[in-house]
Amino acid sequence: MLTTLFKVQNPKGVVGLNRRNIEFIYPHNQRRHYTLADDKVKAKMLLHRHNIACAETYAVISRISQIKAQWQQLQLHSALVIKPAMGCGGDGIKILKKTRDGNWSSSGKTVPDAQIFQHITRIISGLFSMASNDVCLVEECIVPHPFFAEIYDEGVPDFRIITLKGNPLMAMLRMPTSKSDGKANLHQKGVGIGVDMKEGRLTQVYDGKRYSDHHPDSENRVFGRNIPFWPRMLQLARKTAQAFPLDYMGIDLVIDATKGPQIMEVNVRPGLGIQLVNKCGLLSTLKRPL
Amino acid sequence: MPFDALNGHFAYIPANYLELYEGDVFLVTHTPGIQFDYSYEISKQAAIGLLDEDSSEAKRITAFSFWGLVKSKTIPKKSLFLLLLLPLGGLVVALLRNVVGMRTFGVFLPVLIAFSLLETGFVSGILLFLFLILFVGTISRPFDAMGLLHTPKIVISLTLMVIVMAAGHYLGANYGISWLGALTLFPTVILTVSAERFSKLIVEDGFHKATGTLLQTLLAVGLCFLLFSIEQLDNLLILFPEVLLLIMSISMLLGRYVGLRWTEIIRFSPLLNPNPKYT
Repeated sequence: MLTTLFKVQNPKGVVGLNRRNIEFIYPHNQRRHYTLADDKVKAKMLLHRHNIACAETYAVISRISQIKAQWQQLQLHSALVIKPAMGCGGDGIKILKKTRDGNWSSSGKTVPDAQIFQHITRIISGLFSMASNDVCLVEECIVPHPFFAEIYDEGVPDFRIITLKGNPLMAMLRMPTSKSDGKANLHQKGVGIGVDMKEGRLTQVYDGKRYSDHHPDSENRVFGRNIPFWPRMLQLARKTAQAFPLDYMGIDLVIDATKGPQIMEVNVRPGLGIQLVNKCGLLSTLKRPL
Repeated sequence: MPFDALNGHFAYIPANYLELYEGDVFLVTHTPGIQFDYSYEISKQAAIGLLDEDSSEAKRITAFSFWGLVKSKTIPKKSLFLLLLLPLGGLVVALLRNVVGMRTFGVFLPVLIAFSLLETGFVSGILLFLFLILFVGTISRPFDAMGLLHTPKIVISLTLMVIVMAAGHYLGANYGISWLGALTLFPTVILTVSAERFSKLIVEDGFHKATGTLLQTLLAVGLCFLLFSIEQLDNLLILFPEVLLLIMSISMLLGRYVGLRWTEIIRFSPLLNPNPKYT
């Protein structure tokens, strides 16, 4: 029994946490650079400096005393996203839209200014980031490309591309479901959709247990659908990977309805579920680079 | 010839009598008119079970050991044993985490809890541990809702833990409930941290996953406890401290282990199965 447990058949080259840490993260990512990815403000500044397409930064609020003055300047925008720079799991993110009568609203409900100030104060005091203080990032609101609505019409779906030394290895599309509360993470009941890297096509849908060829909340077939802007997204991922001093990354991209592919954020410890989504191990992608 | 007219023993020494000397002469003779007083003193002498009466044999068996420390009373045998157990237990937890893929609260928490269990007994110890974690996790819940910063929040939980433990000890001592007195044997700070993590896990990953982690921690505690209950383990570790070097070398090997964890074999089973039924 012991030998069967230690000599596991692994023809597809599945990478586990041990191998990911020892062979992918430690040799390729230096710890002192982690903060470039973990801190969204630092990551965005780097992206802006390299002219890489990403959501426009409207404001960075780092002190509670600045909130009111900064908020005044934000009034000219019609939609924006407020997020903590070091938040995790999508906590503390608020999408605000201006209604016709000039009030701000979030998911259909009017939000008074006082409540917005309170939210920003909470972000700055580190409530969402397990730290003693944080910085609040206010940025452009991405409008998902109509391509996504054909599959499932809610939340913001994003692509995750894994890169090693600037080469894209594997990708997936993460989509929210009716059960996932607008979040696209696999472990928050979102679904992952595999990507054929060469052809730029979607493959099977994986919900954490089963595979199918359509989104759980829609009948439209997903398998084989062409991804718009695929070559541009690969190029964007390569450019991002070169801009960061990190050699193993998970790059998250979204497709905006008017501006096309945009970088959302980067991760130094991308999860391994992407292998299940693509029915393919990460090791085997090393042998046949794109 | 042993002879005790007072308690009616003749020609044998009862088991609860201590033989001080043999012979016909008195141990002490008292000359009248001289002020004289005497008393007996019994003190504990550390000994190694594996060896015969005299532990000087230790020198013969092994060139280097910690026995000298114990004999010269530099460090109590028990404390030394705890020190030596820590790396061993740590190795067990490391194996459970990196090879089996279990999730535990911290690395050394299971080791320390297992060590407390040696004092409290396994079942009552586990129950006490669960009670403390759940109780403090629950009563510190209202403070979560207040949106307090992390560090002061931890201090509040720690204070609550100390109060519960002191109260338990007091009740135990006053009403003669011995198992309540065992409360103070647990490492307070570490319990607090795990109570804190448990309630945080419930919020972050849901009750299901959090209890999973708690159960796996208890399993790790049980395994450490089994290991620690091996008889003569304390003596072996004290006589042969080379074991520590062995632990270091095993840890170095383990540190380079890139294989799949057992839980990952289950997680990735659709990809590992040679004839996949999912396609």
